[in-house]
Amino acid sequence: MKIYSVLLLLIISLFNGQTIINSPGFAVKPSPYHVVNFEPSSYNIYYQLQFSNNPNHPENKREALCVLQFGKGFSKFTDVNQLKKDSLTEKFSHQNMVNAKEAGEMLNIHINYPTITVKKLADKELIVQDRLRDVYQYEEKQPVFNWKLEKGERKILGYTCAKAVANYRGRTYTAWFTKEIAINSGPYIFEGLPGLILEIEDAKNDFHFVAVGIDRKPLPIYIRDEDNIFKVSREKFRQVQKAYHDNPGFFHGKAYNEDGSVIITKSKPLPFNPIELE
Amino acid sequence: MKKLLFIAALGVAGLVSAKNAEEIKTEKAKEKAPVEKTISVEKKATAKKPYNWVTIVSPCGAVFYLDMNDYATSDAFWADAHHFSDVKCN
Repeated sequence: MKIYSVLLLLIISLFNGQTIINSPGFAVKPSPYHVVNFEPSSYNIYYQLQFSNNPNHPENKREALCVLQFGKGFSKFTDVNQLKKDSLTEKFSHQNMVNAKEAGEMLNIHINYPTITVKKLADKELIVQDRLRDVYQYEEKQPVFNWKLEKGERKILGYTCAKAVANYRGRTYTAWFTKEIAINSGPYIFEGLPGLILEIEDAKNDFHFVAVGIDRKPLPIYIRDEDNIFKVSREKFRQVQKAYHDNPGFFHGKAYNEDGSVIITKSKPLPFNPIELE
Repeated sequence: MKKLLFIAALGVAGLVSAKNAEEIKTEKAKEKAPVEKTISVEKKATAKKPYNWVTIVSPCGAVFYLDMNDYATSDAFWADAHHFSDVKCN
């Protein structure tokens, strides 16, 4: 009977492409949820991101829908699914336990682009959070981009865009910005042009952001601030990030196959192609 | 007659001695009992928790198991479930 139920769940999982927890009585204690709220956004610009996380197979693209929440003093760039996950985490944090159905909801939110950047506009400072197995945070000054304007014109979302090129930490980027929206910002941490960046891609086409929608619904600009976030320097984070991709098995716990064998002890390296090469 | 009295006396002596022996045994057992309890409690304290397996069916249909004793809260569980799902499916 147990075999049939596993088979049934396997079929459901295959057809729906969903993660399912098949353990009656499953319960896990919810993690704490704490945020620092900055302000509501005045613009939300949605970007479709296509990126390659494997330098050996740049043709294999991953996708994420991201949002730039732009306010008067702060802006934030994140995967939209991260906001959904935060919302569920907040809901679960008020409960004693999370059950199998609720855990399934959480596990079916896939964050393909885990980097969160918050800009303190007045101070010209950045807060970056990234998840390896745990969440790491570092702060740095907002970089200055040496944009060179080039000839070219493109329509994106009905806005006329001009072309600019800049080098940044190991990659050459081509940006398309519109003067019709007077916002000095763009996806990720890009800025420094006389208008909103609606499209940007690097020369290798490893990272390609294109605006797909804009609205002005006020959304809270916040950052997670739990005690278990590792606050480190950028240099330290990059060391840990490299170590994580070289040997993820060291960071993650153990999991077991159906025959009882351990899935990995020292797992194969994960593909590693960060947006910032330097 | 003498023989009978001797046998009866032996019987009485035997009974009395047996009662005493039982009392001694019980007292000894009573004395030992707490020691045995302590040992069993100590054993429990050092014993490994029994596995608390959770079956996870990943999006590609691959099945794997995590031990919930490894997870105090949900965040690490989500991270490992996603990671091993990726490992099994990619």
